[in-house]
Amino acid sequence: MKPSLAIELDDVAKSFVLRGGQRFAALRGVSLAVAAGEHVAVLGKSGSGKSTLLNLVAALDRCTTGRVQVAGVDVGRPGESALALWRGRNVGVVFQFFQLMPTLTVVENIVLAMELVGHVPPGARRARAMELLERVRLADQANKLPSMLSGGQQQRAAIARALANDPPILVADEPTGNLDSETSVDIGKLFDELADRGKTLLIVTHDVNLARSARRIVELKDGVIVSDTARVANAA
Amino acid sequence: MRWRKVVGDARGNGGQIGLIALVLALGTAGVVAVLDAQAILKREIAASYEAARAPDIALWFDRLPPRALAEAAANESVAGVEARRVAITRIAARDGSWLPMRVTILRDIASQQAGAIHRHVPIAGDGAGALWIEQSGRTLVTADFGESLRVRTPTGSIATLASAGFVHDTSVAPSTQDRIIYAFATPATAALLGQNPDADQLWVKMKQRGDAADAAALGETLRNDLLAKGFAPLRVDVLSNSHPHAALMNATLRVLGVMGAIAFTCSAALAGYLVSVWMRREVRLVGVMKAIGARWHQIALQYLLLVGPLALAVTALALPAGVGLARAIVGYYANVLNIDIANWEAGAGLPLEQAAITLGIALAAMAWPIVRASRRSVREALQDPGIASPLTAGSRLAKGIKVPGAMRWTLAARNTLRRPFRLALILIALASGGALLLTTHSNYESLMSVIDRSLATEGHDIEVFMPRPAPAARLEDIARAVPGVELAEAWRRATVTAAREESSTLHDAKRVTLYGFPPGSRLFKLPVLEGRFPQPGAADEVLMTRTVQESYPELRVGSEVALRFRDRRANARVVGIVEEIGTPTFYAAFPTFDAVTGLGDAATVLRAKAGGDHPESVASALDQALLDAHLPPGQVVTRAMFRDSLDEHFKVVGDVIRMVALAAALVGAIVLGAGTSFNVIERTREIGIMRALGATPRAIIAILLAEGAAIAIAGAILSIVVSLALTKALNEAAARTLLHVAVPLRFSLEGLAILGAGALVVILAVWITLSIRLRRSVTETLSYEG
Repeated sequence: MKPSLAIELDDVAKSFVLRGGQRFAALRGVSLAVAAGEHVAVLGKSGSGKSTLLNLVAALDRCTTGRVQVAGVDVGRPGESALALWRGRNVGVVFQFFQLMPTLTVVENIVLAMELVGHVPPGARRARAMELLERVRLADQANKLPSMLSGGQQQRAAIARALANDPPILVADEPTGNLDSETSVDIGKLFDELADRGKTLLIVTHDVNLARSARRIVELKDGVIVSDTARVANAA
Repeated sequence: MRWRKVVGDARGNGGQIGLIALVLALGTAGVVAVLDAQAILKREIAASYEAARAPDIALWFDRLPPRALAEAAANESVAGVEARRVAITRIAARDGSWLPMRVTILRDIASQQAGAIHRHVPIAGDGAGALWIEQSGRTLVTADFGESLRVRTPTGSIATLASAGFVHDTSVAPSTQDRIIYAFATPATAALLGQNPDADQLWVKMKQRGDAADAAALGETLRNDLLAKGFAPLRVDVLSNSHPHAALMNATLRVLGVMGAIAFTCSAALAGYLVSVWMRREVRLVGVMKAIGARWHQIALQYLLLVGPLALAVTALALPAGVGLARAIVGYYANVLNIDIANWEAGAGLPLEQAAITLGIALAAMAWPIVRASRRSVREALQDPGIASPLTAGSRLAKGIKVPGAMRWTLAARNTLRRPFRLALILIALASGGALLLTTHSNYESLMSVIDRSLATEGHDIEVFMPRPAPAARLEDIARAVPGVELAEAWRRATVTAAREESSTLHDAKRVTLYGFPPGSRLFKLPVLEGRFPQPGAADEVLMTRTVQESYPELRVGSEVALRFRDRRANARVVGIVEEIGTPTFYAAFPTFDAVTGLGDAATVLRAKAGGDHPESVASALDQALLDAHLPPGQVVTRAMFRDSLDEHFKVVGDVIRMVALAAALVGAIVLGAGTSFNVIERTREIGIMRALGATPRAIIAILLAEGAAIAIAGAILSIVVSLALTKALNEAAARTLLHVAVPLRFSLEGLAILGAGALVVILAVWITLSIRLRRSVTETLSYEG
């Protein structure tokens, strides 16, 4: 039985208009299919289009041509408001610079993410937030402001926030780009656990160790996929 | 190469630099205008009054003996003397009504030794058969040279005279405020008007006057000298030697100065704030420059080379604009105060001083964020991620804020404290402007409510002043026959001097109005605050208004007071105190009035209560009825006219203060709008994060609007609190110096509504900024560098 597809890109192109009117093609004719539960690392040099790819998958941007389908939804169709709610429910995003709300505590950051989507009932939000913090081993820092945490702790908090609405898909853009190697290993283990729990992971990274733990590596160069290697063979 | 960066920065940040320049220019021009206006007006008010050679002493006679003039002039302390008489009559106004007119009868129109008037064009002819009108009455009567003037004579008939044109008497308040026309005539012209042409006053100008005691001493000397020569003055008055509105104007100028300083401070702070926002965007570049070897002062100079010349250019443009604005303010007040402005320059050193201060403060405000940014370490500067704010005292405080309900409101509330300095600036600007605006409105409404309350306690709404005493019964009969008159009573009125019992010197004597009310009066309704009403038939009991206590603080219920009228002197006892706005007044029953004045049945005031809603038409009818009875009134005043006159007086101070307050409130609103817009711009990446998390555009707008609204509400609360304190202080000052009755606080809802309109500016600014931001894709907002 063919596994269901969590992410499907069909001949997707994305170009940007630069200052001066020039067009820059970040992605050119990219087709990619990611099954539910797959752990995929996206590699490539700066300017290869990997962040653009991630943004399209997370519906943070729209493709110029082609079709992007995520969790069964063509993300080019819904309006901004509907897309935002869909995104919050279906895609958890982890950023390189953590991007936690600086005036909210760690637990409050997670509660806010639930509140914006409205999927988790109000009465259950705090408990779920603490549960998520337990999972990322950050429960004892729940009531601290982000600026009081180390980089690794902030990134774990960001991962907990990304999981707030229990999205089936998690995307991460250079999640260890701002961390030391030891902390990066910690974060890598966290992603492994999430993959083991059945989350679909799409991680853009330069971190070799992080890429190694992925089951599939997609390499981009100049806006096209130049290699797509499964590290563990899929059952037919 | 350095200049290329400066030019590049100027091009790249044109909008922001333009805004800085505008804000600085407005603040600088404003403060220069206010300081210049202050300097000019303070000098010219005094100079104008000095040029009027206002008399220091007035001696009253039945008929001034011609030799008395020479005798008084011979005194070595006397600089000049002037004989005159004042007649009160009425003149037909432009709108068809009859306005009271005070005609001063002078020997020589062309020159006076005391109480000088002048024309701005030479006086042609001797004015025979013509009247000169004081120029402030220009808008009230048609009196260009040669035009006909219709004037009431003492018999009630109308005399028509030609106008000799306008003259300027800088010692009087404008006709438009007091609603009285000042006119000048020769004795021959006075005779044509049926007035007594003989002088009854001797005005004396001193060579050197220290204070009122000096004038009183000279007055006493002159009286004794004249008495010795057989010329017995009826009364000797020490006159004020300052413009009637001088104290009020000086207070206004001080307030203007404070407001100007606040407005400038806000503008300089806003300019500094805009520079700090700019520097936040430049901070990574600062890190890069340091990484390649630049030192902090080199980096700071790079940016100072842009703001320095900008501040210089702005000051150079704003100074003359401020000077121009000052002239407009001075011109307005010259008109309002009826003074001449001989010298429109503020003073030789003042512009330089102002330039130095405004430029210095503006440069300091803008240099501070530049230096601060330049001194950041390389690592800090390069790693500035834009979204994370350092853990400040504001953040620690913010953590304690928790709004019940949704987390987004807690986020909005805490975000207000992310930039504590910016928030403080916004709140100070908003509170200053808002408080000033609220205070001017609340103070005005407080004053007018007191006036309305006081007028409501008066039993009458029409008061007629008779130039000559008339039998009370006759007056009352005439009045009661007029349709619309519900009640009418003939009262008596005289001007007495009150001296302390143990002293009989002139210095202690202050003029006070004495009213005599008829027995069983139904129109005397002033509440007795202390003591009691005089006993019917008592011949030595008086009530006094609180204003009497301003001059005689020792007088209270039970005190004895000596009242002098002409050559009579009678003692009376204060049995009660009433509250009334106006000049110091004693009220007495007829027996006491007669005991003091000896005038008998001589009513000079008619008070009436009109039924219905149009006392003005009843007043006109009453006026006509008295004219028909050959008892022409001197002045007919309705309650509305009295209120309008007071309102005009308040406008002298109120109008300009309200304008400045509005400008200050506008600065506050601009600072608030700019501040909250910058909050949104800085939060662009954060907005992107929220969108990435699933926030709809509507949710984001709600959060940021809530933040703006929280700041606006905090500013409004601060404004209200400060304005309550300021209004209370102003009310107390007005009570003490102006109205002489307590002025309870009345908070202006109109002012609050204007403030609320300013809050809409905030909401609009935030909404517009947000709308622009939300048009970008999530990716664009996430990658916003700030």
